[in-house]
Amino acid sequence: MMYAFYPGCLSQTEMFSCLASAREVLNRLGVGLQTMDGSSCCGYQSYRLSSPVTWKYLTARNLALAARMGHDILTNCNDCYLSFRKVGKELADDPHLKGIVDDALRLEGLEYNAKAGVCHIAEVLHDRIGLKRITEAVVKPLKGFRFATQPGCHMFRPEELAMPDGPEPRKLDELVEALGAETSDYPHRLDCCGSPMQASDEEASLRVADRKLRSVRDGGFDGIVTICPHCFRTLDAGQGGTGAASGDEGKRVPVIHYTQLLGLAMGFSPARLGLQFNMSPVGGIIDRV
Amino acid sequence: MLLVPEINEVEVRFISKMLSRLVGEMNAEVCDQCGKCSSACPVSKEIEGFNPRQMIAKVSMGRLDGLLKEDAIWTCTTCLKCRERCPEDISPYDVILILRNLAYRAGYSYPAGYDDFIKGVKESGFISRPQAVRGRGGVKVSRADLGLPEVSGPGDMAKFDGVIEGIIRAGK
Repeated sequence: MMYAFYPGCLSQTEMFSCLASAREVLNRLGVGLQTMDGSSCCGYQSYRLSSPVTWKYLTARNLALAARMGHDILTNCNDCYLSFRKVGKELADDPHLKGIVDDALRLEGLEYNAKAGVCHIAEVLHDRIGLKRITEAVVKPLKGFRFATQPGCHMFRPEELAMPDGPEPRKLDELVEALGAETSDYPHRLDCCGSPMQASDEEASLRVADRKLRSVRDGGFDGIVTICPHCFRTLDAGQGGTGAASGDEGKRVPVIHYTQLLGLAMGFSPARLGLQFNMSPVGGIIDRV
Repeated sequence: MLLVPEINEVEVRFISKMLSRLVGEMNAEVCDQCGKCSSACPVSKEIEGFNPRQMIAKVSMGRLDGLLKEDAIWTCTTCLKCRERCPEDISPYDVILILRNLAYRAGYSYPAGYDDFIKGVKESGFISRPQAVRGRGGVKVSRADLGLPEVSGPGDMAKFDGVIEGIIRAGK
């Protein structure tokens, strides 16, 4: 199982724990990750505002690089995933857009031919590796833990793109349960974490995150597990700025990325999974595992 | 009629197409103003005045210019819940993204953070260069400290940025 690995801007430049833990667990599960030389931002968080055609060109350019490598893309970023899926569909439906993109790609000797598929990391873990093999890889079962999950909107919406876990996401829950832990529903589970608002109104963004965090805290969970680097940053690092975290640290909700949790259950040391970067109190989870 | 200075033909064609498609969809699938989009919206719960239902009403009445100057179009989190809930298959999400494109092109104000992201892509291929990150212990750690390989960027940055600038200028 070999993929062109596309971690996206956030894991590459800031959320190193997402990158390190994904590399560790996928490697041990037998998934080959090839670095995409020449890759760049998919454009979704950058040029989409100023030049939608440039956004689509950048996404197509990354797909063209993967096709030249002969592999499907594996991404651990929900926004990049949505961008690949949305732009892929538009290029298939809109010959005028495809013409502009083809002309630009030719300048770098690239070609968009729709040969490279795109997989979200949850899809690779759940559908391609499979829950059975994940359970078999667990050396420290997470018995007695009960987690809330945050799949991240762009893994299960919009419905017209037939997203891998839509419209009622369960895959992340099943992946957590495969480690021996329990999951259950909570109010606002399928609501946004507030992350994309950080560029325009950080305070309001944290209020959106706060509603979710309070709901998780009131539900008596051991923590919240996400598989999106944007949700992870907002709920984990952003938590210090929310009302839920006001007062003593004991009120904070532990936030852990799924590949970190999987890595702990597989017996990796916390440092190799980047757990020293989680700003929320994950020490209790680490100690109990 | 909205006047949009410094806009190239490619963008005009793209935006015209998107707007006509959306208006077409809204003509075929008339918004009943049921408000399911607004009641589902996680931002509407936190920001008074952020109301996707009202935005759709303004767009369908052609009151674009006022909307383009409102802060509200920048506070959408793009979570797509409005699109999921709409019984008439209208997508406030797509409408808002196009309003942002138009506001930017019209020279109205937009959050400064977006300029930083574009600057980052022009300089390194990604929205920023890799940062040293502080952990719970307060110590700053770099990618290399974690044994992670160097970021493989687009390579020839002048060529990479030249193609992008070519697209933006195209049609002029």
